Amino acid sequence: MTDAPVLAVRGLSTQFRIGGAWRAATRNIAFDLYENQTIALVGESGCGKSITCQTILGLLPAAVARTEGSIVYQGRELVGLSDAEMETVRGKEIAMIFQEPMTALNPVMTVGEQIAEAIRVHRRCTKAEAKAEAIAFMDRVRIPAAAQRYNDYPHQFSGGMRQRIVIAMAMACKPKVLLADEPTTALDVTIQAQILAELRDLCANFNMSMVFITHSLGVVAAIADRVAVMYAGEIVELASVEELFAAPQHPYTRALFQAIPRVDETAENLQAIPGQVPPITAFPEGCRFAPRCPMRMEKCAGRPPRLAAADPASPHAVACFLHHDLALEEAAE
Amino acid sequence: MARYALLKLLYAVPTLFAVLLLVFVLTRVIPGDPAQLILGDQATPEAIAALRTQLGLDKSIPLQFLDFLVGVLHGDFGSSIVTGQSVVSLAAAVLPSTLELTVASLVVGVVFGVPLGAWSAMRRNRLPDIAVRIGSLIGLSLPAFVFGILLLVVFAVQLGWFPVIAPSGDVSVFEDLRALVLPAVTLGILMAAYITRVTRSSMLQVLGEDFIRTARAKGVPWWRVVRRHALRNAIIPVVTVVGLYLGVLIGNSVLTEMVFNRPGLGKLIVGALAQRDYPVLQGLMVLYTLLIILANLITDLAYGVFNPRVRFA
Repeated sequence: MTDAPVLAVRGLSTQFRIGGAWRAATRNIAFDLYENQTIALVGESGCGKSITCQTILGLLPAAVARTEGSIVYQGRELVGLSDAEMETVRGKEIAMIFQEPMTALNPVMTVGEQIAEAIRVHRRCTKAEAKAEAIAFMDRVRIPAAAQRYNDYPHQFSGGMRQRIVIAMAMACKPKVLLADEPTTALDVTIQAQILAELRDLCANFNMSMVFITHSLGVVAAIADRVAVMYAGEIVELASVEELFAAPQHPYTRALFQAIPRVDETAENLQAIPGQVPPITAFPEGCRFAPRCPMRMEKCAGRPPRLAAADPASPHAVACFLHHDLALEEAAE
Repeated sequence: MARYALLKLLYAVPTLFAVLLLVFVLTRVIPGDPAQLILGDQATPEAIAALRTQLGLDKSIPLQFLDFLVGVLHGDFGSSIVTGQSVVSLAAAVLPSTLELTVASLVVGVVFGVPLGAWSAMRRNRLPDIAVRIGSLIGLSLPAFVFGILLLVVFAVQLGWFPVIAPSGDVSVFEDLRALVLPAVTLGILMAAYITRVTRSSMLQVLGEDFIRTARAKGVPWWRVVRRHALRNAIIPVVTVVGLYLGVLIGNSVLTEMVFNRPGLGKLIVGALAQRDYPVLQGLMVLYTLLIILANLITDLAYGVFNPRVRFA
């Protein structure tokens, strides 16, 4: 592992134009991704996980979304790059896979063509070379009879097989970073396990780092090295998987753990988190989790807590006044 | 594909039968005795009776329908009661002219409609989009005879670029095409307006699909995403609509042919109507139905070409 991170995100904020005003959907997102590492972004729906990934790749339309902060990929700042410059990064350096394999593929193009296209937009090569390579990748992600299936259309594949195609497409240019946006959520459990194993295997073999979005802590345990727990557009806790599972600090993280159904308890004991994630237009002032927090204090409603380590010697960071008194300076905007 | 086409043709048989029945009943329901109409007020009852026998009108209605059916199956639609020419030869003489006009206006419609619709969708709610939407609305609401006469006045009479009346007889291909331009534009502009609107809404929907994001995520340049991914999907509903509209187009050619005084099925049917030439009317109605069934078949086949999901169904 080298010292410099492959991907360093600092103070990242994605803002959307809603009714004429810019509203921040995410705020102060910061994490480092090192080579061969997987970081999981965890949180309920609407916490800004997908938005963060799409912002990294510059996929959000400029007319309605803008980005503040910094995304440094291998020493190169990505925020502010033109669309043409980003096109050389997308797919080649940083690739992305999506939640819905049923809709992520173009229905009127053969799967082979779609994989070969990823190769051909980034490298000068003949159609035959791209085809051979695409088949090799289909084979690599264990699609049976890859050469014969090259000319098949997406509707001729099952969900799990389509997700393998999507993965082959993302891997086609051997990217350094893979952004995986809930790639197993839409699949049934056995297929889920296969896809996770496949992704782990690919990361190891291609020296690839991964940002893995999920709302399932079980999946986190299976795939991630580090975890960023997100709530209402902010990272509220950032730690290694071991530390987080051993000692979750933020009340939201603890609530997430309590919300996991267990076979040794009756269903009535299932602890759902009361309330729901506030919409982007109604984020509370101070700590955004405060209204739903069982341990809220008076000061939680004032200034938002900063993501910081309770113990300066530990990399386990949390944004909660239960653990430290550091607040976010740029609070009142 | 061949099996699919054959199946579709088989489906057309009952449709055609129903149309034959309808056309037959309609002509029988119209008040007045054709024999009386042909021979006029002064005819003797004997002459009328003789003609009725000659035309087969003295037989029972079901028997008459059977005669009609047998004739149709043999490709015999009877003869014009005005000129005595066979309906088939009358229609065959002008069919190429109508098909030429229909195909040309279809080309005008697609060539203008698809790019304008796509452009409009990509500039949604901005000036080009608004301009295209207003333009297509005008195109849709302008009657063919108004627009046709407008074109005639400006480009044929004032500027003299195109002939006012289509030249008849043996003319060069160039002259023939030159005469085709204005009628094709008149008819095609309506088609283009329609295609523009369908393409725009279809394109807007496709641009929001997940696979567009996937294509962008792998670094495909935007114009290529639009051309290879968006347009290829957006065109599918356009094909359906164009196919449905092909029938309307054949019907609309009636007005255009009148305005530009072009020979064609439209002019023929209007003439037959004015002269109460029932066999011609009857034959042309069947021919129109056949053309529309054929247009639908071509649409179905084209749909399979554009949409791989249909081919294997």
